[in-house]
Amino acid sequence: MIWVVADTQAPTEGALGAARLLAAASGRGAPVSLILTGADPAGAAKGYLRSTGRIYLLAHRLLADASVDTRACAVARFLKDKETSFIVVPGTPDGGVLAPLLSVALGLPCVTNVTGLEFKDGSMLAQRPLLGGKLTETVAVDGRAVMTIAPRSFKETFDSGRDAETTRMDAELAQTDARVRVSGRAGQDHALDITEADVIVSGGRGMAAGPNFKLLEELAALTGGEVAASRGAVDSGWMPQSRQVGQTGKTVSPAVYIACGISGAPQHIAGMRLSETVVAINKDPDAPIFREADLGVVADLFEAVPLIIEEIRRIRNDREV
Amino acid sequence: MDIIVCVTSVPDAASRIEIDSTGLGIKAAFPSILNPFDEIALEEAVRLAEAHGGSVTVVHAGAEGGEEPLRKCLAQGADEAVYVKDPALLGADGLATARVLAKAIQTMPHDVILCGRAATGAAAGSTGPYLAALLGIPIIPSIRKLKILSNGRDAEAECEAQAGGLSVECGLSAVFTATKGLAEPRYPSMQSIMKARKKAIRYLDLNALGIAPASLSTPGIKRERLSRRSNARSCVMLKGGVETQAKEAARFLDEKIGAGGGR
Amino acid sequence: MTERYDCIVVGAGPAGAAAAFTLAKAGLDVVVFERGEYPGAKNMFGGILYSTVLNRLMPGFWADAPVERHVVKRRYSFVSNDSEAAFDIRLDAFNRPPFNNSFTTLRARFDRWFAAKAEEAGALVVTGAVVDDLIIKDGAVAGVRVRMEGGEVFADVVIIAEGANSLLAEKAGLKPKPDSANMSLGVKEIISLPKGVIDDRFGLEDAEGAAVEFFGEALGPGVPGGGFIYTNQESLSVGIACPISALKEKGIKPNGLIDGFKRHPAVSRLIRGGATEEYLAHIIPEGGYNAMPELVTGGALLAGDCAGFVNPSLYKEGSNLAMASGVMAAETVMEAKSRGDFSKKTLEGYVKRLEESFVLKDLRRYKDAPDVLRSTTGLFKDYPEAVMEMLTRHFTISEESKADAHKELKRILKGRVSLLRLAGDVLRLRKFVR
Repeated sequence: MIWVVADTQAPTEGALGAARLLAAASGRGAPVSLILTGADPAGAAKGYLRSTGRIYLLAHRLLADASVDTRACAVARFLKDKETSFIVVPGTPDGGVLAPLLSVALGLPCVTNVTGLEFKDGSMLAQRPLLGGKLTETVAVDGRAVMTIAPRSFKETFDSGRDAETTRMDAELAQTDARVRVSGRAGQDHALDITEADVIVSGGRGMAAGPNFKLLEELAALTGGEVAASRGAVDSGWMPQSRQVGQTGKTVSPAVYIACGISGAPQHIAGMRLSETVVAINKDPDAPIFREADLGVVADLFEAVPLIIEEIRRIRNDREV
Repeated sequence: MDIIVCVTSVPDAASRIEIDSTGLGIKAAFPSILNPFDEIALEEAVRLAEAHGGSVTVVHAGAEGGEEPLRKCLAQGADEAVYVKDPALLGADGLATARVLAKAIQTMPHDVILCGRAATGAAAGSTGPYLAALLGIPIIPSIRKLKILSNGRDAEAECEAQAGGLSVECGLSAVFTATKGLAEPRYPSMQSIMKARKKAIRYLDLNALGIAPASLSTPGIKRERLSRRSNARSCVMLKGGVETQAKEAARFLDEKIGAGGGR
Repeated sequence: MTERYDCIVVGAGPAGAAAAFTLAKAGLDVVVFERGEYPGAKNMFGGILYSTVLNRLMPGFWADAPVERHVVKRRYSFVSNDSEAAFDIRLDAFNRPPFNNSFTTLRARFDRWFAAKAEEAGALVVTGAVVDDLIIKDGAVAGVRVRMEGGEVFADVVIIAEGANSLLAEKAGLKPKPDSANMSLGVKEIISLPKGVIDDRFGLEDAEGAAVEFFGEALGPGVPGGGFIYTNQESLSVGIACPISALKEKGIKPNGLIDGFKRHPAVSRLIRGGATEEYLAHIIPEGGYNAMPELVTGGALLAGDCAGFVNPSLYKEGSNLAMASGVMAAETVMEAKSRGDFSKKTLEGYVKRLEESFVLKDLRRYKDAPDVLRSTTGLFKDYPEAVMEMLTRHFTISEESKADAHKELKRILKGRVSLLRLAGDVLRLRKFVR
């Protein structure tokens, strides 16, 4: 049996996509089961009804707004006596903690941040980036494992054509199992996790001031993207920490990364190297960011970005006409 | 209060990575630095010890090269450094390293265990959760605030979560992983550097911890190969005035993003 | 609490590490302050370490040091816009210790190793430590002010080995602000290729290495300077050096320069398929003998790049000179200590040592090189074209009589450059090409 543990805060599509691949390759058409946790996860299950064959709702009042420590405890107990070949977890911040916890609790090996799967001669090979994407590691997995799936990987759309069979179970938890209790949420930046964004418009020190990021927000809105920032911009207080791309921030791999006024320090490159396409806008033609870009605009971003916005609008208008 | 900080070194973002002749290992000699998240964890540990009394012990496990990060930690305020140094740890994976660290930590008193949210360059960040699971204590990941309550047995923390922050509370001992914002690493003073020079690193090996080297490999997974990212980019630099360049860039973006873009 | 040492060394590059190693081995209490996150973090050189001095300090060092390959093969390649004439030598003697004292090396690794050796010998190496000022007492240098809490550190003597960007030496008044006329810009990329590919392409095996130097129009018509490719184990050091004055004059961007060099067919063949892993740029002081600063003052000495110890010939040899000067600075300090006198007069012994060694002998010999190389514009434009045309004639198979061909060769040369000018240039240049 292949299990997917849904994230309570982030999309689980990638993990489901990877699980379906694993199921198809196993030959026996091993079913994919999705586990949702919560006080009453039925509502959350609605979005996944046609994504999988079977859904388990793991319910307990202690799982309402639970810490990852408590969720791991509940999921591990639920799976302890179940037949498991793979446990697939989205590679979100929570998933990255949940997976190693499950791995130790269930005695399974763990492979994190998987971006690709290959099946050869009955064995499974998982690919994962190492060292800020400078290397790719291929890991041979023999049999069972816990896996986290890198953001934006395996995200194809899927419709099973019928609603999943849903089973509600009471999670086996005692008050003492809630070792880490959530007492509140202190969120000011409630954005989508930028690692999931298809387009990222990122600003650096060249943005000169916080309010100037409005310009990037406009371009992001137009391209269906999210705004991010370099360490320089975050340390200057122009953007929240959660939107920092780089060595001490997030590692992103969007379809398109637009770097505005970012010089391209190695620490920044380490966070965006795996982007599919990179467009860089910088005044300085010698800026190292151009070495990691596919298209370079050598211009003042405050002139170039508004013109680009205007031009994209014009192109789209012309197409509609 | 006894505070343990687990540290490791990571390649500098600018450093060149070389694969060894077996194709399965990364050459160890590249320039490396103390993992920036571990440095934050250490700073928080030193501050806790300053505020509540107690001592900070840094622990590292590896085959070679651990002296440098440990010395740095001593200069930045750690009281003691423990180095589990064993040739069998060359190429050890995250779980194996965590098992060795956990064994070493079990030999010492520990109320708070801190480590970096992840080793930079590796998106994984498994060490903290592995340690917690192996030691059977709670994990509080990606904290940006930590407060030890006056009873000395409980802690409150603020974690970075998907949607903003999360306030949590737990009993000690526990594992906390540090993220940016928790503490700004201090610059060591000349005195602390001189003092650090006089502190000795305490060495342990697998034998001393009762770990059989053969037990370190994780059954069921094996590194098959390492490869270098092949698609080095070659940038097309647009020519002409800003209007011309903007037009070209807009066309390029529109093509790449497609009509699906825009909300 | 103030700290006091026998000697403070500023900078953990080849000069500083050699000085610290020598002093610590002799039992002196020495501290090294390095501004980088680790020794070698910000350092750059072409890629070949000439190791006569190092081999004297640590005989057989190559067995332990992170050297990449030893250079058995040298190639001088004279290029025009699209063609190449090369001279190639491979000496078997270079394949045996001491390997002609030429090793390809990656600085980030090597400098760290060298500084660690100084540490093992007993020196204290403090990284991430920026020295802001010298502390002057009674007209002599008495210590340094490090940018950290409690950062005043005192010593009998300070060896300044801070590199080409020599702010401290300038503050101490030992050196005027550097004149960009005396600086070249070095730009270098590390391009990775599998070992097998490098071995095949350059005709090497095992730890054998090759050094290819490019002259002529390597950087484009009329641009002075040259380029190089050196083989590391699994990468190539590919770089150029060009006087900053020429960059300014011609409005050339350094990036464009190295990109152009990499596109030259003679170069692109050798780096094909490689991925650029690192990009480095650095200034090279090459005023030579004529631009040398004051080397000593009361309580302080200058060593390495900040003293201008770079051979300004086409080679820009610097690290060997740096190590030599570091060792001699250390020896001078030891002598001063035995006399208990660190006055300028005693420290002048350093200059004497340098004068008697290859360091200042070479700098004197090549003292006109920067001017000559800069003024001999033909070297970078007319000559490459003329030489290439002559060789093309010579090797092109045709039915032209040999006598006619010979005359034609003379005509080509004359048409391009006057024979007199050529003869003069050849004489002037002869010695700078080694």
